[in-house]
Amino acid sequence: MAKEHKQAVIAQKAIFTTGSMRLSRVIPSILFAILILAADVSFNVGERIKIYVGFATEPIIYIPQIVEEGWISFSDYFEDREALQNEIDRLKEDIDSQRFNLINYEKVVQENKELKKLLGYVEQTNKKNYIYGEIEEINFAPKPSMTVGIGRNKKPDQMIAFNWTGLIGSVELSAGSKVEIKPIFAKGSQIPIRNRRTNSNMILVGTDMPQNFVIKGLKKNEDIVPGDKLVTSGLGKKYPKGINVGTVNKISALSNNEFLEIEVLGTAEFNSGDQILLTLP
Amino acid sequence: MAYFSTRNPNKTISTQLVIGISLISGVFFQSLFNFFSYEIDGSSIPVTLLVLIYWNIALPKNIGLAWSFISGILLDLNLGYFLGTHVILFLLISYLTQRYFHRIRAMFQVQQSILIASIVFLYLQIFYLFFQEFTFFGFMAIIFNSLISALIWPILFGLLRLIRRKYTYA
Repeated sequence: MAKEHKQAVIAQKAIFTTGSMRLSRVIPSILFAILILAADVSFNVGERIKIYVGFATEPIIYIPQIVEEGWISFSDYFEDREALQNEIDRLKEDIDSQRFNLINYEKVVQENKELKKLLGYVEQTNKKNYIYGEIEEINFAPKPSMTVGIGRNKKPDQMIAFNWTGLIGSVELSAGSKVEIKPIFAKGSQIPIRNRRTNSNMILVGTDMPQNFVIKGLKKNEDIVPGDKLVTSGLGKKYPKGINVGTVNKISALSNNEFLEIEVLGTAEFNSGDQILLTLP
Repeated sequence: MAYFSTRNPNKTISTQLVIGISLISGVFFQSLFNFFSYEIDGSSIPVTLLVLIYWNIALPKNIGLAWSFISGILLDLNLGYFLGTHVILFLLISYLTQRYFHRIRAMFQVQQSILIASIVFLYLQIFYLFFQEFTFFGFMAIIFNSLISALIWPILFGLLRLIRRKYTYA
């Protein structure tokens, strides 16, 4: 209030006060300005100066453009950021949904495993279960055997051996890159077989002679004739099922024995070729 | 009138420098606004005039008529008017404001703003009548710019007063 009162008092005094400026001081300046104006209108004297000033002040006209471009860049930056942020959010949502799907999938897999276990289903593995090897040495005495060279880091245990003629034996020993093959005709080796004609099961026994086998334990009333094809039966899971191993060659029946003596000619030639395929039964 | 007699020569130079810089800045900004307002017939806020009025009110003895002349010429050159157009108007307005600066100083801010709006309106109207064809849109632009000038006057007044107190002897 006091301030307003003071200002009102000053205003009251000031209303009758004038500055020291007089019209007589302004008139010459105004006349001079009119003279310049007239000269410019009549003779265009300021044209050249205006051109130079125009050149000098030309950058001013670029300022709005620079400001506009700057603003566009600025807004674009944030728009791009926003677009990127939206994309990131969308992808995060996608990841979350995929995680949810993955959890569900794992749950289903677990359920399947449990179900398989309950049903007694044995899952087949798809691991690589065959090895190629090269024959390095073949011995027939004191006992028949074959040494095969394979690559390192291979696990040939419990594998069986084939050459190009057929099943020749099984892995007896393995050490490093060497494998010793025990032939199927080795003495004491017993191969579960099946007569392809009659489907009756029997045991093929090795004799230590290549391609020579015998079948023991068959009674005289057994339906077997020379020429019968013998294949592996797969029993005991040492050899796979259905591999041709030989043909019945000779059948003899001794009077003082209730069993037949059957000689079998083996299909596979033990010392044929130079490459071996080892595989799991 | 005491402060006129206690003028410091160094401060006088800085005062002239501050006035000059502020007026040239006013010319720069007015040219810029004029370029922006191309679509409304170049009718823009007369920043130079507002700065000139301030210095006429605040330091009438220092500004004299020379700065009115210089700033007027600069504006004519920048905006492409006939030389002397702005000079005449600035001289007339400087005369009136320096003549009655006591009364203007004593006014309230609102009264000052109304006075500024009137001066700006007349100033823009003169240019509009002499140099452009009359349109309703252009007339509305003048009224709009007068109102804007009245609104920014207190801000400009405060800003220039701050500069005056810091860099001049007054």
